[in-house]
Amino acid sequence: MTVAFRAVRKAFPDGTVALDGFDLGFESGEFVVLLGPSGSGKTTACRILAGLETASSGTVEVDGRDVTELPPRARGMSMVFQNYALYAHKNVYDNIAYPLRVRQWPRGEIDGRVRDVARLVRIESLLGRHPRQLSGGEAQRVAVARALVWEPSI
Amino acid sequence: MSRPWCMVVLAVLIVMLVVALTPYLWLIMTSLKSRLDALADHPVWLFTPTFEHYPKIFIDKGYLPLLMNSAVVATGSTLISLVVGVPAAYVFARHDFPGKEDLFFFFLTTRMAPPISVVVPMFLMFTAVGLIDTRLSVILAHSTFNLSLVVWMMRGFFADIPREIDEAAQMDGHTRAGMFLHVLMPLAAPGMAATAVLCFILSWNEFLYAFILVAFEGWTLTVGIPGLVTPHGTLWGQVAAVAVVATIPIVVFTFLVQRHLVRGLTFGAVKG
Repeated sequence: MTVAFRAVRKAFPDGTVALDGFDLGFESGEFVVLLGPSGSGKTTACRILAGLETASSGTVEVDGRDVTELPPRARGMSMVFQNYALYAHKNVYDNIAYPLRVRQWPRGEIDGRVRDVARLVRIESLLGRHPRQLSGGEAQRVAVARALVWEPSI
Repeated sequence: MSRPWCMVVLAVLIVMLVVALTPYLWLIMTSLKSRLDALADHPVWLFTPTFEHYPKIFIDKGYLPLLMNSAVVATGSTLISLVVGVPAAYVFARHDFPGKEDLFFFFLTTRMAPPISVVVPMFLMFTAVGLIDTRLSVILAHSTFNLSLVVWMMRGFFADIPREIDEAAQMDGHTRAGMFLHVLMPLAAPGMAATAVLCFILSWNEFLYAFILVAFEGWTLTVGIPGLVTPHGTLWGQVAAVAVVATIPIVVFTFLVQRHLVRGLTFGAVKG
């Protein structure tokens, strides 16, 4: 599993150039951290990788396959958001199960997988709660659980 | 709040409540009064109630179909306005395109022209397409003001949902349509309930379009009431009976959705 940004450039309509000639590659098993001052393009790069933004020019490749034009759901990636973006009207269990339900996994498998991942991030006791009843740290773990539950490649 | 100030506020509220509710209570009482009691020189507060006016107006005079017409028209225009307006509001809330605010303002201006200035051209247009004297013409006419209300209110409710929710839904595997239908709409449901009730009420109470665009069979309840003011005298008991029945759905709906109504109307007011 290789991910590559090739000469990615992103210019926003108001003229701001967030990325210019951005090249980065990484392999499966690597733990990559992007560090930089505020406004340096870290979030933009992540969002382009996820498919939430489109690059003005350049390509993004996963395993040699060009994914630049693919929508987020077709890229095999998941994302944890800065403000967690949990579904306020669903409880924790349903939040974690949601990616599996959208992808139409069988009911029995969903339950098992949700509980496994909840055990992994140690939130089994919170499955019945709603996001507004969680502390910041707990909400963060729910967001991580939701991102991991369908075992995306990235 | 200090006690004396509390008492003043309470007193003012009680006065306002009495002023607001007395006409309605009087209406209910009038519908239960005999003709003599209703037309008495001095207000009659104690009387023997009679239910004769209700069957007389709804069954003998055949006003039951009018109730049905009101229901069909109000439901129809609310549904059309929601089906068209909610997706439009989503686009205004989430996307940018040239002329967006101008288009939004254009939507709002449709509510600024008084109905009386457009009812005659509307009559001519509906006649030209053969829709005159149908309930559909009234439904469409009511949709002209309900649609802009829906777009206006729902834009605010959609804008209050953080964009990250859209993105989380897409990362979870939804298409854009799926995200809108399965994630955003449930989250905007309280706002939609509040908006739907307002649309229903506006359409239910509307007089001018319903009066001009249909003849007797298509009359709504509001239009039926002036028909009871005859040269031989006004049948106040029956007028009151029709009015009471006309207010029942509104009262019921408002009680059912009042929790959502309060939340929906104040949703955008306080951030965080």
